[in-house]
Amino acid sequence: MLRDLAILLEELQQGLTSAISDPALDMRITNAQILLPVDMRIIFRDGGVVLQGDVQRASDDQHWFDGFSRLQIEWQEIPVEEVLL
Amino acid sequence: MSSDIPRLLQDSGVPFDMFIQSLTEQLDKAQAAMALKARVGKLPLTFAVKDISLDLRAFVQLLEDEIYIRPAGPGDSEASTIKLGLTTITKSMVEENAMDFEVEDPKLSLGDALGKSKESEDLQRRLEKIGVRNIKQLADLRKTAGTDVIARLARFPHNRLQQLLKIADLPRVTLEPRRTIEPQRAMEPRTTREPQVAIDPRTVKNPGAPIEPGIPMEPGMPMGPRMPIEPRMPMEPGVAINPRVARIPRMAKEPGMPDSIGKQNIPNRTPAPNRFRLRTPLINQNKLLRVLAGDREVPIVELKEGEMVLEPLVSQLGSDATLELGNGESLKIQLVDGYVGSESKEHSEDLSKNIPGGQT
Repeated sequence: MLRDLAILLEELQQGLTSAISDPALDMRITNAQILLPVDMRIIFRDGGVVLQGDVQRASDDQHWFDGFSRLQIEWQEIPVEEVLL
Repeated sequence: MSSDIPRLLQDSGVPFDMFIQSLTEQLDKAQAAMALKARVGKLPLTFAVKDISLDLRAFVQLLEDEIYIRPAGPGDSEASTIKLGLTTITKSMVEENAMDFEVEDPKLSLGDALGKSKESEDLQRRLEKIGVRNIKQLADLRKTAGTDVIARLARFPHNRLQQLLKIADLPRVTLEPRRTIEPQRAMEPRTTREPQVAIDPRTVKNPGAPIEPGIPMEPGMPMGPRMPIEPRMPMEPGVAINPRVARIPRMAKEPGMPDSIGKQNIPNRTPAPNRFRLRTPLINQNKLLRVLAGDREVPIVELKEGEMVLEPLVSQLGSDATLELGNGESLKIQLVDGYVGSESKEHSEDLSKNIPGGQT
């Protein structure tokens, strides 16, 4: 069951934020790059087109894929005030 | 894709621009949610997406001159790879690269001008491919590129192009919002030493002509919102004052009459004359243009490329007029709000069908 791509991005960001806010981490991360194999599809919902995408959940049941799409995201640390809503 | 989607659509996927829209929509959603979380959590720093690239395995098809893509699913082999790269851009970069979506005059849309048919949709698509999205853009492009170039680039039939351009050239008349003169300001005492003169616009446009009496309102005559105009203007040194123009009409004071009598007889707001905006791409501001209604000239109070503002006399309202374009050609117009001209009977029939409310 694939989810909306936005949910995947939110979870990735949440994971990154949690990682750097660990007090035991004795360093500061300002940039991060993530490269993931993803499964993507397009569905029609709410009168429009919605892009869904997710990482593979298990490695042993994906053999029918000829090749995965790849999603590469570069994150950058910025002050919260600069984030536009 | 879902099983309730028609099979043909599932096989074809979606147009490429729709795919890009859905991708950016997901990124915007994610960015908004992340920003909200960061603000609620009162964190000083957060992570935002700087760059994103996607190597999408998909099948690409060309249908009716449009690119359709369908992401590869389980069991699909030999899919193509589409590499997409997105980065964060500033607001000014968005504005620089976005298409100019100016408010489109519904009477000037390509769809209306071409009519509703399968062939017309195809012709409209051909024009959109060269960046022409409305009739005005087509008229502008004619000035810079010429009709032959447009027809060749858009693979557009010459006869249909000429027909479209004739529709683009049709004069369109609209009533300007009604203005009023504020007499209180005109009557207030002078406080500076600078010579000033109150000008009656009717007198200035027709020096020596008698001022028309009040305009009787007829049923259906439009009344726009009232706007004040500047009743006074500074006079250049050395400019002679025409006493007819400079005189402010006042009621003569009889002996024993209180000072306020004269002011009481002046109406609070004086309606300004009606003004009409005339638009057609044929108006060239560098030419000597004239508008004649009957045997008298209609004053032109504003002129720029492609449009002019007329201030007809009361007797000229609603009458037929001729716009002389300064190159030996002329156009017939009517000084009526909502008038849309016609070059020939054929066009007038087209317009009456395609333009709601258009008068021909």
